[in-house]
Amino acid sequence: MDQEQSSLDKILDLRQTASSEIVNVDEPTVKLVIFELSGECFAFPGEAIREIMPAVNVYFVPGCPPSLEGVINVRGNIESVIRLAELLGKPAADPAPNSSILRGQGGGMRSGIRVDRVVDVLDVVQSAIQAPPTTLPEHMRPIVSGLLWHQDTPVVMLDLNRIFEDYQRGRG
Amino acid sequence: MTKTAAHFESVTLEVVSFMAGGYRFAVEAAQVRTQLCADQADTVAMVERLLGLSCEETQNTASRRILLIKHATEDYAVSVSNPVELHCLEIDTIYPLPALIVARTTLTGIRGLALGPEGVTLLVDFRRMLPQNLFN
Repeated sequence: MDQEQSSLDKILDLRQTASSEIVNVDEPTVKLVIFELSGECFAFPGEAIREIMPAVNVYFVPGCPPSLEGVINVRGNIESVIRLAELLGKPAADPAPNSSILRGQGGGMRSGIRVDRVVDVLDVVQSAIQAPPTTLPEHMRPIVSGLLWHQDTPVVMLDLNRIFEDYQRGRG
Repeated sequence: MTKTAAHFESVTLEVVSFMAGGYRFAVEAAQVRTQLCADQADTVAMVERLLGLSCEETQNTASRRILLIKHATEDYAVSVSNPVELHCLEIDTIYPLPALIVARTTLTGIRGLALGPEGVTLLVDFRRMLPQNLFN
């Protein structure tokens, strides 16, 4: 005779399903800093980001391209600040009042990177990172290292070494 | 505090600051022989042109002074905008240019910057500008 599933059975079923979804903890993970620019989500590897700074005074330096916002004083050291949106081909705009500056390190250089908002800092399993889509615009292909999904939103992973090196060579 | 650190903090750099294209620059005072009035030199190089700043901004500048810059063979005269001031920069306000600014600046002869309450002062080295190009 069929018996209706008891509450305990349901709970045990749910627990069984949940346990089957547990991630293999031995799988390598990558720390990512996810941020927003012009309504899209991007990420840098955590190892490339030294610090997330709130709004700080950026000093204008004449003779630089518009994508180079100026310099900041970080505890007695001077670092440049670049506007990542303009390097990614997004429309130029004044920084939002609650925007952040990521202090990045790559290609043997350090610089601040202006972003609209830091969304999250988290560890993801490497298998969650997909290869860059083939539909990427031409100018994005060299600097995109992967794609992942975070809270149902696509996140484009960026190669900071390449961004800094290209910028130093006059691209962007 | 170590003796070295105390010595470092007490050191200053004497500079002559001036305006060019609406921005503040400074040159090490040791490179400047004297300051002249605008009509006291025959052949003068415009500092905006030397630096690579826009000429349009130069034309908007009303008040000019001449800095006589020391050179191994012959001093040369450079026209700058007021205010021209002699003052000392604390060494801990002087910084080398960040790598990306070195790579992307369109200005020539910039060696570093000083950061103070008035903002950024770009530090110029006139010796790095070729004298033969000054008066073309």
